Amino acid sequence: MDYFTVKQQFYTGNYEEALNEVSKFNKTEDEALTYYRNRSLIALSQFSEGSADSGSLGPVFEAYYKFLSKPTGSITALEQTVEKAGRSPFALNLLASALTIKGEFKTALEVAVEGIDSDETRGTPELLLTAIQITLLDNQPTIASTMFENFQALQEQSNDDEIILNLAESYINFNQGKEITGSNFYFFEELSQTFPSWKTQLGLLNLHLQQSHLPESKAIIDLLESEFYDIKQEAQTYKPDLLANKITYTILSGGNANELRSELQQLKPSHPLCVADLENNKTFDQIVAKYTA
Amino acid sequence: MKMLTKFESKSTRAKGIAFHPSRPWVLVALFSSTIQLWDYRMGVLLHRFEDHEGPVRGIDFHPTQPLFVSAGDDYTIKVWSLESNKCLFTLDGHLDYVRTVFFHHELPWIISSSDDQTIRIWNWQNRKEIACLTGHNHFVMCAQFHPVEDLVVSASLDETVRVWDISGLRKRHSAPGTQSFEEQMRQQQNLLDGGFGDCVVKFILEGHTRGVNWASFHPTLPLIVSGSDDRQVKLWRMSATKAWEVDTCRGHTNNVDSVIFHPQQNLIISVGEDKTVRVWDLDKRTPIKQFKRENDRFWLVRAHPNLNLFGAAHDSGIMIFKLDRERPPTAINQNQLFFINREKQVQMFDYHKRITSLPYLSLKNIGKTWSSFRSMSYNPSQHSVLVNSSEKEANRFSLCVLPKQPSGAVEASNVISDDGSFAIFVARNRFVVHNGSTNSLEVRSLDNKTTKSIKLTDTVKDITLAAPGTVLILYSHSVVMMDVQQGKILHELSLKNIKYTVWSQDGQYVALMSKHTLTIANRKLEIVTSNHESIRIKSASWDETGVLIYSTLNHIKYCLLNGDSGIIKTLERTLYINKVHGKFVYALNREGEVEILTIDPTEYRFKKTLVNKNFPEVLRIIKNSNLVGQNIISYLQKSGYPEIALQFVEDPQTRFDLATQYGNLTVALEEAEKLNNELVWERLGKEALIQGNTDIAELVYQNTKQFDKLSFLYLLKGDNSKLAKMESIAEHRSDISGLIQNTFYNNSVQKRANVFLNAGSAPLAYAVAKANGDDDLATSILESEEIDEQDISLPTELNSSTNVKTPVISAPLKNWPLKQAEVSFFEKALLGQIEDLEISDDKEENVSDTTQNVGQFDLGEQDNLDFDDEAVGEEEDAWDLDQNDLELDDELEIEESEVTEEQVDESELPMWVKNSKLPAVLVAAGAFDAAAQALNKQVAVVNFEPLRTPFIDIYDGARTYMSATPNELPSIIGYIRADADEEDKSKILPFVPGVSVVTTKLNEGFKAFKANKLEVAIEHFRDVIYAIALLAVTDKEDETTAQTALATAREYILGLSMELERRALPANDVKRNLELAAYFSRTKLLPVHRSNALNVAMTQSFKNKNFVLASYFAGEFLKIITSGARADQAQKIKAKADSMAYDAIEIDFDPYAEFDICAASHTPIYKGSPSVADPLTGANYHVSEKGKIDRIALISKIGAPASGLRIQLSVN
Repeated sequence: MDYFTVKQQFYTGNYEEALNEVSKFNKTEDEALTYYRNRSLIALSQFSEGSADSGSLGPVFEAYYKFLSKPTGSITALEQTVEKAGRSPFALNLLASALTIKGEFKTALEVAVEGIDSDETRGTPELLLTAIQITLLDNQPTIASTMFENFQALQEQSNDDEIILNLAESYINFNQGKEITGSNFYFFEELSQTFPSWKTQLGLLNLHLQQSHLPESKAIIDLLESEFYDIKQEAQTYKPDLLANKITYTILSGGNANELRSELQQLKPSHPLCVADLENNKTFDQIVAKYTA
Repeated sequence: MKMLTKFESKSTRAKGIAFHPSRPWVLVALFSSTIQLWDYRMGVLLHRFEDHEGPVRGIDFHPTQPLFVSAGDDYTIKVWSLESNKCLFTLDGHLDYVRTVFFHHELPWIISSSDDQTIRIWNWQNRKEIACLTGHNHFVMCAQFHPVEDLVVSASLDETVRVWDISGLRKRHSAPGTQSFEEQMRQQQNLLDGGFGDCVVKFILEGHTRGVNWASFHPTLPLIVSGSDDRQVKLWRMSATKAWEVDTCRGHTNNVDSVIFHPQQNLIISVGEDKTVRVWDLDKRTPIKQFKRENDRFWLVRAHPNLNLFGAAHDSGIMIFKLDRERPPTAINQNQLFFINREKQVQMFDYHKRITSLPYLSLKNIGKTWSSFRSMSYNPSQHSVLVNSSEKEANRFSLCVLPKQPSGAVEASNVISDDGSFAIFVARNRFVVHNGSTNSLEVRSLDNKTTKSIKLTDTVKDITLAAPGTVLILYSHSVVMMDVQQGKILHELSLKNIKYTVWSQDGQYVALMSKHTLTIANRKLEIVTSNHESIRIKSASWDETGVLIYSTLNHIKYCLLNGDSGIIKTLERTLYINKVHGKFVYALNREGEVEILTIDPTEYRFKKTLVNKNFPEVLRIIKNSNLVGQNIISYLQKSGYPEIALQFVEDPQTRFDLATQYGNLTVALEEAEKLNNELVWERLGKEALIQGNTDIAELVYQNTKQFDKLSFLYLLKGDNSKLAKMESIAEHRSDISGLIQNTFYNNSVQKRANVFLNAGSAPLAYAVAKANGDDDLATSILESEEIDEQDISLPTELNSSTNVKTPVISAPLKNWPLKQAEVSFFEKALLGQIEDLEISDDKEENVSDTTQNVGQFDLGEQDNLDFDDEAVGEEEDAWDLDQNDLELDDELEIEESEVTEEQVDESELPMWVKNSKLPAVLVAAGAFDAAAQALNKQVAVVNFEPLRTPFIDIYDGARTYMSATPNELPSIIGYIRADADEEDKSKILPFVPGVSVVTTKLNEGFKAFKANKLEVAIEHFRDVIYAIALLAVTDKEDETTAQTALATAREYILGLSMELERRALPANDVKRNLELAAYFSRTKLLPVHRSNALNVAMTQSFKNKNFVLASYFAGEFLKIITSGARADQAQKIKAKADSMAYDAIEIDFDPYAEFDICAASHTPIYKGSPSVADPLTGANYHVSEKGKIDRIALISKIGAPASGLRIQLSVN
């Protein structure tokens, strides 16, 4: 089945359009459609209990959703539903995501690899994307590269999945500082032109920041703060990342970022930037104490 | 190679052809005795010259004069004027058909060849034959001068080609003034002899086996090419002493009638009676290309003297053609233009820097040697180009990766070449190519693997990019926009023969160009406007405001979205526009060089703002430009903006016309008064009436003496008094009918009756009187007429007029506005009724610094100070700038390994730390501990708290967070490097804000100082020091700047701290007050700031009667401020103080002693006294302060051992 447009829209962060595309299929029993539908709903904060489809993947999403509402809690319930769903790559993807959110990168990666290596091929590119991000979060970019290369070499790729693999590759490049002025930059430039959305604009902003392009960065920040983007459903989902990058931008342009930091702290204390700042402040406290003594 | 026919004429057999050197003209000599003059660009026959009897064979334009020469079978040579189109004179002498005639390139000579077996040279100025070259023993078919040397080449049916030396002829004829009598005699004799002595045969070239029809010299090399009835083309070479046959080109299947060298390329072009034009490789003598006509034998081929054009004469006319296209292929990427020059090298032009790069690559080995590339496409991601070469047999494309830096024309290597046409990049890792054999569009990856194939329906003419992933497919009858990723047709537009497409900068519009039509369509391929051009359209580009600028063969023009277009500039030669920005047009010429033209965009900008109804801008343009001319006025009038047109006109009639058109009566009246003619008044009156402006209508009627209308107007207005006046005027003028009319209006019965009576119509007069009840009058009429009342029978229904009403209004009506002439926005703007309307040209530049000077500090008119420009770099003595190698590294190694341990993988952060141990880099890498240790070692930092924000800022500033997929996962970190392009792992470093940030902060400090916010200023200056402590600069210059900035910040903090202390003193502590003021004046501030300190010290001293010191400070002050009110005041103080010459209070300040100021106690440390310095700020202290925290930056330990701050990156 051709999920080209669904995937294009989903991975470029156009979730409402993705939902539209899903609804065009007029089917409920398809795992991939269920996966994209529910993922999109979650991204739009429109998922609610009971809104997942029936079928094996439905309950996994219900359980995942419950976990998301309390990420510090246990994931046993989620694990059980994944079992029931036959540990399909799509189901494992949700489990791996949950483990990642909990910071259990090692286990998460094991879960992901299990799915990628399984006989089932549907859902493996999606799982690879998750796995790549896990390794990057776990600060193991070399593993990410190897996984990516292996996957590309072994699997027959359909045109559908190109966007997923491109995205995976771009995460690796981004994290490793590769192709900053080259293909990674143009990847996002292209996407933000053809599929303008919060996600693709933010991606372009990332690459501009990596090149210290301040006026261009400012233009994107202004764009995302404009009403057009502000009223979008997914605005809340992406605002923390906008703020985080705005902090970077402010520092690069010699400004004072403290207010923005507290704003981000209010909005999403779990954001990696807040986490890092917290850590750094603690380290700094120790330094202050050490030299004062 | 491709023959591109540019023009064809249909006529009887053409035997000769000649190009005009500068105008697009060609002369055609016809067998029918006519000579035609064509404009080959427009395709128009300009003139026919008829004077020859019989066929015309030879024809030539003079290289500079408006002349041409012709010759034919009537044995004559005729010289014609292009000005009068008449034959000026005829040169007789030949005794048989004349085959060819040519002008000499510089001398006033003509050379002719004839069937009488002679070649003759003529002076056209004195119309004399000056030489007759005999020797050939058959018809001479052709004779030409050498382009530079004194040589002639001739071809004859005697099977030889001859080269003649005519240097003797030049000698004899070029300096006639110096000739002696004998020489003149000899010349006479010589002429009689046929000039034998002056022109001698140099070489006789034998080799052809039949008659030779043509011989030509090479423009630069010592080569000759000849064509003969033996069907061969022969190449000859000559030296100073001999000439020989080089090679033969065989291929023609019938007589070769004419052959020439290509003026620029190493090619030979020949034509013959086998109906072909053939192109040969001059170096290899191999055939390259041939073009055949079905029925026409070719008689002559000729090259344009300056352009890359050729003409050929054949049995049914002529054709003008090019060999190959001259348009350099281009691809634009942001501010870069990639193009292929004439040498087939890829070059880049930078629009910002306006520099053309060295060649990146030579593509000589790609495609056929003599063929140019059709198009190119650039991929910024791979830094590669796709080039398309099109040939009849096979279209091929090549993908070549460019070297990073242009370093000269290196041969392309690792080229991927394949069959296919119109290859073009559609994404960073995909291109499309048209596969002709299957007629499908193939999407391919960069390694040329087909990932998708889309079947097409029609013959494709070209493919251009529409947007990433989307292309425009140009068919012969339509344009189709296709998403190649999905293979879906998005939009389609029926449009014929589109050759080029150009998208507007915002991607909303596309210009679609065919040879003669320019169509603008939107993103959905819906036509917005379409214009026809009679001259060929060549290229186009959109300017940043959305105006299309395009070039035709000879013009640069513009086209607005509403279809308005016009000429901007005339072109001498064809240019291919590729970018327009402001008033600059960037174009490539046919030599493959970028030309930057300046145009005046005012006209189209003006029209565009008008179309957009942006009236403030319209007004601005009018006020600030010199836009004039009938053209713009009629445009405005036509477009319905007479009120705007009015701004441009002074001519009263035009102004009047415009004003009435939009009902501006005031202006119309003004102009009508100037013009003062009936027609004008009439029109004004009408318009005034339509608008209900009775005042002006009245004025008009008065001026034009239209009394009836005037009366009626008064009646309408209810102006009885004026009506009464009108009545008396009518009476005065003896205008009976007018008078009667007025009596009706006025209801003046008696008057009317009297008029009738006086006019001899007593019955009417009586009837009037009677009917209106004026019996007295009636009776008097009867009496005067001696009639009895009984004898009169009046109508029974007779009563007084009820038609006349008394006005219901007390005063006459003024104006009665009917059609309100609306004041347009534009007029309002003119009248200044629009608020916030900014029309001055410099609106953006007027933003000035509004910082106010408060309190004691009056900084005069000093602008914001730029630290870089000021002479603050003179106090570096306190600093030892030399970088000593530090013994610090050992300890850092430990820290480094700690950091490394944290990382499981070889990633960014360890790389940074490995490459540099500067505190800033360590902070960015998150190694706070190591950074702190380094700062402690280098400059004895012990109080870290103030550095908290700088630390965290540097850490955060080197990271950017990318949203994960799905978003609930933690964001992925990307690192920001000092140089995003750096690939050498040993040089990769984090981005740390540089010297510019330091300068910015310093300026903020100055600003706060200026605004008298001293505490704020101190904060800013401390920030400067913190920033410098955590700086990473790449060169010595930046380091010096930073060191200087640090010293400056220190001096300001010290000075301002003392000033703050002084201000906080109790009023009675005069001594300390004066001391602090004096010390403040000694800090090394910028002169303009120091003047403030001196001012304070001066006034305080003077006030407290320390006149000697006051005088001293005044003197110092005057060294800085030399004029103005403050200087005057200082002068006065100095004069006064000098006269007093004593100090009332003794203070601890010796203006002439050298001393530092202790930054803690704010007391002097005189030279030679013991002191300690702070390792970071360099501030001096009394020894008692040793071990305490520095008072300047508050972070370092005074007098602690330290190795010195390191901020310059060294490459490991």
